[in-house]
Amino acid sequence: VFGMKLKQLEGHLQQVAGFDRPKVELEQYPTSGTIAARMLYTIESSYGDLGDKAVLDLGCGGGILGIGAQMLGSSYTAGVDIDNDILAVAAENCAEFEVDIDLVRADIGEALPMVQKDKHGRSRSVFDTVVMNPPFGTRVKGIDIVFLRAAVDAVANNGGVVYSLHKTSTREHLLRKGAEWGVSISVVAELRYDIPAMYQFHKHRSLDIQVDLLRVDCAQHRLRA
Amino acid sequence: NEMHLLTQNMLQCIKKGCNKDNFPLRISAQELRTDEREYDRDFVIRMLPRIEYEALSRSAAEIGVALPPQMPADAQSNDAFLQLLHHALMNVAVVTGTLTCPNCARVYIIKNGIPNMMPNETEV
Repeated sequence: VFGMKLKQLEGHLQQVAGFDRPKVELEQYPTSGTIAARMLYTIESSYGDLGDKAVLDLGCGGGILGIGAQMLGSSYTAGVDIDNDILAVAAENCAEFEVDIDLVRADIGEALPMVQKDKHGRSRSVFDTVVMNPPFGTRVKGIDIVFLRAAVDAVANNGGVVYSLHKTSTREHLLRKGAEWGVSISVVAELRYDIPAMYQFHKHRSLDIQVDLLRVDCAQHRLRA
Repeated sequence: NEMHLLTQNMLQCIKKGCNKDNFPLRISAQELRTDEREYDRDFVIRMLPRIEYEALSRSAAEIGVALPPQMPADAQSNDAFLQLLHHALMNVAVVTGTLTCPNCARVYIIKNGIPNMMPNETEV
């Protein structure tokens, strides 16, 4: 299954359309083709967590991570986003790349409809792996934690894994959260994330920030609410 | 794009206070599509314990796909059943239609294959 080279994947993903007019309040920073390709390539080549798997992307935007996951052999991929405009872009991207992703519009901060709780309070979902580039929580404090918790709930009962990008400056905080929840979080890679100057409040032309690729292993989880 | 039953099998009503009998959402489809995804036996077997089978069987019937009402006892080794299940989960899909909560009757719209599960949508 895993025949694609990093360069090929990067070449494809650089063609995926992103945000035309990003919305500040949703922290719609694009995931570049380079970042997405490196992230997904590492996930598949080092851990085999995409090929033949059921994959979920929370805050999927234009669908770049889901499209890349499909290119690397995922069996089923779903993407959730709150923004109708970007979901339309994601749908076009899927058609263009001839990949099949189930898209759902939902507000993850309110209720994640892709996870059900049974009568014992345990979560039920079909996913093995979550890949996501959530908001970093610079505009809405704590939204990064909301996404991370939703992702953990989506795979915990299947002993799955979550891969998520976060600002390195929030690392200690996130590791503490993981310990609190009873899941083990490790830093898989450190990346430089280039945020182009898309928003008026950016004084600089573009901004390099240090980002961690976190791996949350829920295989031995002892989830606490 | 399109919504497959594997996705619909995870969707429940998210209206505040509607916590009981809010699943599975009833499908009314205006436009369906059938993909030709290759039968993936290992994947379907892995999904067996993760799906709510009886709900799936009811939902499949709503879009014209017949599944046994109960999962056969020998499901894991019953290749004919697994192929049927794969077809229902991964190939038959809704492009346009609605999902209705069996409890509170709230309607969720599916447009361009994308179900709208936002909490405060009033459009019907």
